[in-house]
Amino acid sequence: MKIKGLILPLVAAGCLVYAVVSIAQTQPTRELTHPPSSPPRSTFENTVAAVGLVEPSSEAITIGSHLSGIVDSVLVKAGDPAPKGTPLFTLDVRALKAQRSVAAAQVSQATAQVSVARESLTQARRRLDSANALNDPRAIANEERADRASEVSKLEASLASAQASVELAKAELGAVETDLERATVTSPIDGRVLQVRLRAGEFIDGGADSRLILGRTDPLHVRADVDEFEIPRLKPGSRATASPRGNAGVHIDLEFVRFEPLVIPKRSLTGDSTERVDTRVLQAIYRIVPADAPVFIGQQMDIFIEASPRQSES
Amino acid sequence: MIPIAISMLRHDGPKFMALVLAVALAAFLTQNQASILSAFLGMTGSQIRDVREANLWVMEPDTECFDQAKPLKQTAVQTIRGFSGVEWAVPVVKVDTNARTEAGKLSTVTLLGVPEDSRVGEPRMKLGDASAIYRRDGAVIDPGGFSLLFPGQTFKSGMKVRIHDEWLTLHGISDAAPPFTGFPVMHVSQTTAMRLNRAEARATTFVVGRMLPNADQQAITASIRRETGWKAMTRTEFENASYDYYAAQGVPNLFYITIAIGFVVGIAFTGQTFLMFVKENARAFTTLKVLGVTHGQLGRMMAAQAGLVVFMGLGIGTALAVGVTEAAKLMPFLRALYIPWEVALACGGVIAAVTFLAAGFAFNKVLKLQPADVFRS
Amino acid sequence: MNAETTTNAVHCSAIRKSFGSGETRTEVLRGIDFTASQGEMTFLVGPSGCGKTTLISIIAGLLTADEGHVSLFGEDLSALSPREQILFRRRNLGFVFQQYNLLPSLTAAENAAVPLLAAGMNRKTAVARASEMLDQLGLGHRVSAMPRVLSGGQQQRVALARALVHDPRLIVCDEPTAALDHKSGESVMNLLATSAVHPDRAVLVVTHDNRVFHFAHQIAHMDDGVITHVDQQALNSRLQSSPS
Repeated sequence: MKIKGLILPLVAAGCLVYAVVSIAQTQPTRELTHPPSSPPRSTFENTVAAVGLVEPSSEAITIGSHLSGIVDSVLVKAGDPAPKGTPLFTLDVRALKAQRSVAAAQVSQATAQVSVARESLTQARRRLDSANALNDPRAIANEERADRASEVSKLEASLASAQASVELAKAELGAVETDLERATVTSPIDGRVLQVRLRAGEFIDGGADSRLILGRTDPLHVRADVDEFEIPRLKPGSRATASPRGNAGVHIDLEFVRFEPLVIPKRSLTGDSTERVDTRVLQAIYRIVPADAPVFIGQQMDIFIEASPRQSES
Repeated sequence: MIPIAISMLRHDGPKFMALVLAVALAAFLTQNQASILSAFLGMTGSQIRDVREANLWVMEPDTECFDQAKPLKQTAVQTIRGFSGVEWAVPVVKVDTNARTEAGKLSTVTLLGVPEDSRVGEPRMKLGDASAIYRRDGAVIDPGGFSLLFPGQTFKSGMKVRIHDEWLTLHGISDAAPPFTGFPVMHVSQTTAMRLNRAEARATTFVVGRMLPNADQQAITASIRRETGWKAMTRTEFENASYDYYAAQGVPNLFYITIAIGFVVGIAFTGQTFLMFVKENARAFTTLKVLGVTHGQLGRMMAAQAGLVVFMGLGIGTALAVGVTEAAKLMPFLRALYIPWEVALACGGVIAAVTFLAAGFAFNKVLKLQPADVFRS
Repeated sequence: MNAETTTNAVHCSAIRKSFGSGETRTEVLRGIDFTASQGEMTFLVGPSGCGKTTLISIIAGLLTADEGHVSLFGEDLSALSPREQILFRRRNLGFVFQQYNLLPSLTAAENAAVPLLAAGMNRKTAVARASEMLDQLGLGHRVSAMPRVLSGGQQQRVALARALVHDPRLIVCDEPTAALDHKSGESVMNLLATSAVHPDRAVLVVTHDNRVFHFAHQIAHMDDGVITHVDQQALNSRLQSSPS
């Protein structure tokens, strides 16, 4: 049996070409590609990286109310400038006003009581004077004179009491009026209204409440969490930049303000996972230099702080 | 004399075919098995290669491979960003959990959380748009995973998978490389992944990054290891580590046996057939010797014969291996199958060497033929 | 032919050769003195096992004698290296075998071209030269035929062409007619006598086919490892009258 012609070698050659081409084409590519959107990058040669939150330079002030009660009217909205003393909201004061009327009436009543006491005292004094004027013991008994003197003393005390009642009633009126004033909550600083989640008609409990937040937004600060292991490489006053999350192309200049004196457990910024706190961080406060930086309070920032080189790298 | 050698071989059709088929079979067996082994173990690096943007992988020292990873603390990504030569770094969030379909099909799945800001590790898609994973409860799934969870069904956007108490909506089929574990791989946003992470107290499984183009990669990884105590590897090193982790479990031995059989079949069969060929053509070889053909010429003739056998056998065998591989790739789980050129070359080289060795044994017989025997009839 | 024009192509003196050792040792050649001349056809005849084949093997350089001396055209073969022996054989010797020994995978022309190809001649030229030679031997119409479709006589003619194609100075024929019928044998011997015999060439034929003895110029009779006697014959007239 002789294999005729070149068919078989040609088939083999064809097979070889197919195999080589196919193998060449199916090799996986291992090239590095670029991220679809750029991750944050440091602008410094030596960097300590951190994450931080934008906050007002006054930190966020959650406005509380002295009084509990129904909100009567909210006088500001989020974003409003709020110079010190600006009324923010008022509570329903009808009850207080009624109390004030009662207190005012009590003042009038007490005042009238003073007049009555004073009249009685005048009358008693007159009777005592006339008794004293009659020097004849037969005209008036000594006992009678003593009674009249005692009457005067008693009525003097009554007058003093009535006058004290007036003071009390006035003080009560003053207290009600203070409460009435306090029913209008005002801004404690020159700041800006950051959040209003308080509506007329809602009940507000005296004490802590975070439905109205105020803060100084000029300038803004960034609170950067630095891993405690990086602390040796940090220098106070070093330069820093920040990129808002998702906008890594933007580098915002920062100016060092201070370190928080306490190293605290890391608070999770990246989501509501059940992350166990196993890291302690130093918080560094930086001022956002440009007034028109495209950031909002509460926004997450990737922060790069210029640092000393590592011992091993220097 | 080479054409004479070739015509002698081709004249002996059965032996010629036997030689070619023996070489083809050996080539097919070894390349097929070696490539399956290599692709199979190569899958241990599927998810590593799929993060195409990163060439730096940082992990806890206890982590040995991608599938078995101990998460890092949350500030790890910032720490890595603080290393010189690291252009950028982002966290990789991997969640191993269970998924259930509306039909009640249950499987372990690997959720990969793609960071919304950089989108590093965002999958390539076969069907649909990857940006769908950033929608709330949006996800995409790999083809193998889809056929596992939805056997026999065609993909429709909006199919749902339940993880814990949440329903994730599938918006597409990704081109994620099949994982070694065989479990479905789902890509979701990092926020979703962290929300669905119930098993681990920490969310950051790995930190991946890119080292600057001209940086000394070994110096960077060494510095990270020294300063942090974590493992830091280049992408290739991590792939190799994952490969070695699974290879050490003994799987390759089965393949080595088959590959060895391939080579043994190759050498035994071709050697035997070459010997028979020489024996049956002893008169012709003796005549050639008597007619003044030198040993060198005879050697070149044998080499040409072996060369033809190798060329045809390897051609057919390799094409067969490629064809089988291509056919197997149609199955979702074997999508990653391919014949590495190194495997093709190494198997081809060894088989060629073995065939030439066999021809060498046969040539030795030719050398021993006595010219004077030409007068014996 | 006379003594002046004939030259000793093959000269053997006191050749001894034995095979085996110890008790199985057999002495095959026991002191051979033998001469073959150029321009002549020398027959070596004798019964089977008399040592004819061993003798021509030694003359052709395929075996080495234990004792004695062989020279071909004045060249002492035993003084040559094995490789030089092969090259000498390729250049100066042609062979015709009892079983033709054609390569079954080659055409008639290719078979005939083997000595030229072995010498490194380009294939096309070699095959053309071989075809020419086949034509001279009356096989011009079968140059592309494979050996298995040729008759025994035709195959032996192809073998003859192979022996002649490179114009060797000595042609060694081993029982060239033993496998052929009388007519084919006669025809092959005729061709050998007309084409191979040449003033510069010696032809050595080993045979025990007495039907062809009349082609010989000289017949050396061998028996039991020695040459018993040599017949000189004059056959020029007969050659010219025999049919080709």
